[in-house]
Amino acid sequence: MRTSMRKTSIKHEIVGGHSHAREQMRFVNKTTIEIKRELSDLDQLALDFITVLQKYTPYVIVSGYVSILLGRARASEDIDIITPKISFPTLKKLVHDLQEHGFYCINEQKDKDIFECLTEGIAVRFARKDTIIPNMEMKWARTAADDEALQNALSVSLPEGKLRISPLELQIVFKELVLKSPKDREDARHLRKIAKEYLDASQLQHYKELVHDIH
Amino acid sequence: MTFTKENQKERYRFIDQWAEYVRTHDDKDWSRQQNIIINSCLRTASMTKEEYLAMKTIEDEMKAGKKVKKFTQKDAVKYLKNL
Repeated sequence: MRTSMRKTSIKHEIVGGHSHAREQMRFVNKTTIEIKRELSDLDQLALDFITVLQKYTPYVIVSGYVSILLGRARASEDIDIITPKISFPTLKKLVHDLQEHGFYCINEQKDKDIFECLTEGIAVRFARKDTIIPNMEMKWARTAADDEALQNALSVSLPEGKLRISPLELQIVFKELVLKSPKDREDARHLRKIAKEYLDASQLQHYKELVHDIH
Repeated sequence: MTFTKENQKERYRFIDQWAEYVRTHDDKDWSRQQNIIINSCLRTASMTKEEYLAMKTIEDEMKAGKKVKKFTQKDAVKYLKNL
């Protein structure tokens, strides 16, 4: 159970005699966050890619973009995505659908080579045609932490669509205890601050034990 | 206190200040400011596909703790030129 939760952060102010709704990031419940943000180029890429991807497989967004989506003041050239393993025919359909929507795979051209990369645990990257940056880095779930992120993903509701992201507690633990670079520690710090009334201490402990067993 | 530690402390101070700003201001307000960083970084980036993939390979090896730990900027330029 979440220990506490922000009930609402929509505030009303009287400005010049008119009621003006202030719309702030809202942790709606245990599984949903609502953000009425202006979209960045990175957000637009994520939404366009996910619109196609989710027709073929569940997914979860992990790592740096999770912090950025929730306001961290930095850029990233890629967005990390985890999916369960999918069959070759499904992957083929996905790749062709992505191509029809203006994406291409940076690493490999042939469907079977893309499939081979994923099978070997190598991430594949998709960008918009004639670009390299930004891109979507996709890989298959391989560890218990990946499975955990997929099964317990949070839904982030944006004005133009929804994105599934890893539980924040898992991201924090992974960045603090596994990745540990200055950038990752700063991402974790931002998440701790931004979601301080929402984070579940028992979940943090659970994920600490999980990543300790894996890494 | 060393320069690195002092610098890190200052970075943490800013992260805390910015997170508080995000928590207490309209999403449109903070995201508009954040987008200046994100969009300008992405729009000014210029790399070939080969350079980008080489850079990512180096990053992955560093993350995996391989021998490239002492990889300098000079080494990176040499590496890219030899592609």
